[in-house]
Amino acid sequence: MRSFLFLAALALAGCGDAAPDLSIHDAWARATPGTAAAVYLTVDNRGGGGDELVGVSLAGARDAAVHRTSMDGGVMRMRRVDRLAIEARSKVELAPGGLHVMATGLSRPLVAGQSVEARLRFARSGERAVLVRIEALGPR
Amino acid sequence: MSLRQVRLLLWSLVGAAALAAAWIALRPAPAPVATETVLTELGGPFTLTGGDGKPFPSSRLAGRPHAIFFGFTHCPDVCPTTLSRLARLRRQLGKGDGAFDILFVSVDPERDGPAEVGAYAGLFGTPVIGLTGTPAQIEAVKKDYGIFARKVPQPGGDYSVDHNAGVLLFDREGRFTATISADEGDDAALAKLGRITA
Repeated sequence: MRSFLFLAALALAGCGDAAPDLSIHDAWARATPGTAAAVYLTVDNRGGGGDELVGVSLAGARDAAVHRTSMDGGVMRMRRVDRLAIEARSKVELAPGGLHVMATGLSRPLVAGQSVEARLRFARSGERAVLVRIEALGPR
Repeated sequence: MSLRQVRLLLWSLVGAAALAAAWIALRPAPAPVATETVLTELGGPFTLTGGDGKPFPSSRLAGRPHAIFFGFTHCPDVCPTTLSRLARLRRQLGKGDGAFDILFVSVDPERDGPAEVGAYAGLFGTPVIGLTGTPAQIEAVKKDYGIFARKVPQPGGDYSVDHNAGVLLFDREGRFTATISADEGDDAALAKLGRITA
């Protein structure tokens, strides 16, 4: 009987509300004189459950939020994204020209070569810290 | 008129009709009405303010091919990306940093003063001319260059600016030549830059 219950529990654990399994990597931002900065990174979800990015903060910035850049007939728009879905077994990339974290109210400029800490808050996975490396602007 | 003559006349009428029909069928169709007007009169003289706080008249660009990008320093994504790309393309062109001027004109004069555009332009590791001006001066330049920009309030009291994100290319005579858009490949962009620096 016990082994049956154990197996049943194991079977139930495998389906239904599976958990997300997030890893965040390749976080970088361009150097900025201090007005606004864009942080790019990749969130990899290897788990069977989805999650949502619901908050971001960057050390030294008064405010940070995910925004999406979009082009509409040659006009560039940027709009805030309050909840960014990270589907199960998928990857979400924040990259130039698309999704990015916009940080404003920087207390100091971001200088190439330095690293700054960012904190990402997920609905299910809680808070994760990630080190953002600052890269130089201009031709590489 | 004899029967023969009548027949000749009728046949020549048939022939004429056939020629007319052929002409109508084969002449080129009228051009479709364009849905976009191309502004060939883009550009115009201006005096803006440089990062050093001094007046920058457009006459300084005489004889120099140049690329103008309209943005704002509170733009964290598209503006640095576009200017970095332009700087990289200039290097790839292989004619030196003096091949053409890169100008960054702010469409956000309320927040971008000379110090802001100067600091911003100085970050790219290659000569970039940062320009701003009074709201009236910027409005005039936007109109001459066909630039659209619109403030969009953001939560928290800040605002973003929707704006054209293309780079405008001018040859050494100051004539508008082409644009480079963000979704255009490097090959096409380099070809256009090659043309204005030829």
